[in-house]
Amino acid sequence: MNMPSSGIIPLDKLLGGEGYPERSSILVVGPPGIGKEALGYWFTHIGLVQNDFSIYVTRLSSREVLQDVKAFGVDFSQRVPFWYASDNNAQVKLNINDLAALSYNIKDILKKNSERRIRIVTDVLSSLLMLNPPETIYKFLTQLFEDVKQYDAITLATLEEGMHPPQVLAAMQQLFDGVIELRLYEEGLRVLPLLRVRKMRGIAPQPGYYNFTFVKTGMEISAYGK
Amino acid sequence: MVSTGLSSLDQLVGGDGYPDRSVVLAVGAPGLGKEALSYWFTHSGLLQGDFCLYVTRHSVSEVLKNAKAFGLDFGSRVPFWIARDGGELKCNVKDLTSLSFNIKEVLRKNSDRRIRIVVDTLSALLMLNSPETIYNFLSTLFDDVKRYDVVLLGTVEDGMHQPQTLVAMQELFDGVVEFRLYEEGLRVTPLLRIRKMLGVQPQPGYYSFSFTSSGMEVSAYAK
Amino acid sequence: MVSSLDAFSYLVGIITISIQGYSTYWALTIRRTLFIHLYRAQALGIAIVGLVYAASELGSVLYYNARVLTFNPILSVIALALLCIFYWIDKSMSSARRSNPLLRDTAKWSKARIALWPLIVVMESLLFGSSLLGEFSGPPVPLSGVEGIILGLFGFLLALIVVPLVGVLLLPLASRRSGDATLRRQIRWFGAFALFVFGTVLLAPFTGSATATTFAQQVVGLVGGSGAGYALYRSAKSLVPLNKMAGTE
Repeated sequence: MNMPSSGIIPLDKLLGGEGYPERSSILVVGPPGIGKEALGYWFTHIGLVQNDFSIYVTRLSSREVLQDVKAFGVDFSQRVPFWYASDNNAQVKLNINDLAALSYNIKDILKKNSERRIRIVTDVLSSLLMLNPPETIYKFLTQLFEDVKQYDAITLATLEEGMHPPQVLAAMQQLFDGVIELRLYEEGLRVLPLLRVRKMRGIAPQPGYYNFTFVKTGMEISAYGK
Repeated sequence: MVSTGLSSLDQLVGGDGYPDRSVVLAVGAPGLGKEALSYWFTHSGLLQGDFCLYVTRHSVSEVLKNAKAFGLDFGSRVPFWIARDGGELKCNVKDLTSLSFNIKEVLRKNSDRRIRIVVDTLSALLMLNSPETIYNFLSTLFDDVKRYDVVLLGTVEDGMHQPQTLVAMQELFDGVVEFRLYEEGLRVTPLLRIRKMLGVQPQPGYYSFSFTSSGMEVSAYAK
Repeated sequence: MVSSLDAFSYLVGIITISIQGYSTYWALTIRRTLFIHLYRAQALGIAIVGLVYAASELGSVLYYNARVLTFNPILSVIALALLCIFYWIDKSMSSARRSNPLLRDTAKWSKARIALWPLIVVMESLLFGSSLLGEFSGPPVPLSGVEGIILGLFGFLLALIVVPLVGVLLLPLASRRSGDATLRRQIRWFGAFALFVFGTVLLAPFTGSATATTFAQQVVGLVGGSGAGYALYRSAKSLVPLNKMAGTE
């Protein structure tokens, strides 16, 4: 019974040993530019290496994502994920305005690949929340997770901080099994990028903050002492 | 009185635990650990031989795994589950009628014992229905529930609902335990307080807390 | 022995340079925490705008008070400032597109910028050069000779129209469409900065001259510079959402 690795060894350690909880939904919250997408890239990468079925659901084109992926030093050249993206090169083309199609397509893809562990990474959540009332997206995700959790699947979604009212952010955090925050903290004249595990199913609440930086092999994480 | 399952909390809420035939609400932001109250409450009930009903939007395995993280192993004695998956009955947060029916049926069949009910679906219910609908749903449910020797503990998430919705919710309950993040200058500290409790004098005090494998440690917080 | 006007001017210079330096510090501090190129560039934009404003103060002091410069650098500084402001506008437009849930490209900016950049660089170079031309042809005035006047006016007017046009019309539109509250805050504060600067520049001919400063001009510079500095500092702080930490006890 191996838990799905996050793809980043120090992060796995932080989460209690092996990685994210099985069949969980993970939310990564942070401001634009801080690099939270990289958690998704490394998560997809380890999935590809372990021969899990990895699907990347993005509002950008696969080309744009690959550019960012390369900038973080992650290698998608050997094996590529299944692209559900906005360009015509993707295996499935994403229409951000069609929730029904999004739900249907994801379920269809899951059904066709149910013999393996499935990793779903997505960056569409913030856009969906800006284009629809929060209750609609809450309902949509409740239903989607119900379907997804019937499979051996983990979902990792990124959410932009600073773009949604606190109530919406709180509602999303409630919905997910695990929430990792990469945020910037002001301390006097300093600005500190710190990681926090806001909640994680199967782990007791952790109050700690951690310094982090992205390196070619993943991340370096160290406890923030205070 | 019905033990909360945590001796430190029993003392805070008036001595021996939650009042008989009461409905109590635990409200707080995510990650503060309010779900632990549900686990310890259920655990204590199982030990005492009460009938424990756990209504959750999660799957049974998810709840068990999470409870383990707080040091709780339900082991041989388990509650009656109304859950998304793995329970005796299915919990469908979109179907209030069947939810209400299921709870009442379970109560009716076990009315010979003291009953403890945990409901962790309140925030989901509030998001998927109008607050008025849920207010009515809970009013009616509590009227039914209080005909039995029942204590009900519900959890609701802070920060995700309109303030007036939370106020209205709190009105429905006999007791409210609040988990907050308290801002003081540049720092923010997690604290808990007993917002109200039936039969207990109003307590303005805040307490800092931490969860251990044997329960919860609580100490008065001086501002 | 320094005249009281000079002393006051030095004081104004120190104050405004400090405030602008503070906003540059914040922009660079935040830039260090970001990993994605576009957002790093946006922070850099604010930082260099602050630097250029500080440089303009320095140039003013060196010309009017220390009398080290033999020509008024104001037009060169304006040229440099407009160039840096355009850099920030470009990055902010791209950021607004990226934040936009539908990835809407307001005014087809991703294409328009390819045409605008060479134009802006040429215009600002002309304007920048017109100050120096004045120097090379002798008299310590920024514009001299018909050629100098025409080049300066061309660069000045066009630059003064294009950059603010994009900044005032397109950028707020793009940021409103993006739905990004933090970006909108950053742009609003930058707009306040631009207003202060514009106001100061507008009042300059009425309070002083191209060759000598006055107390009135310095006071306007102090108020304008402090206001602009504060607004730029707030803009820098709005590059990202900043949080407070939760204690562990």
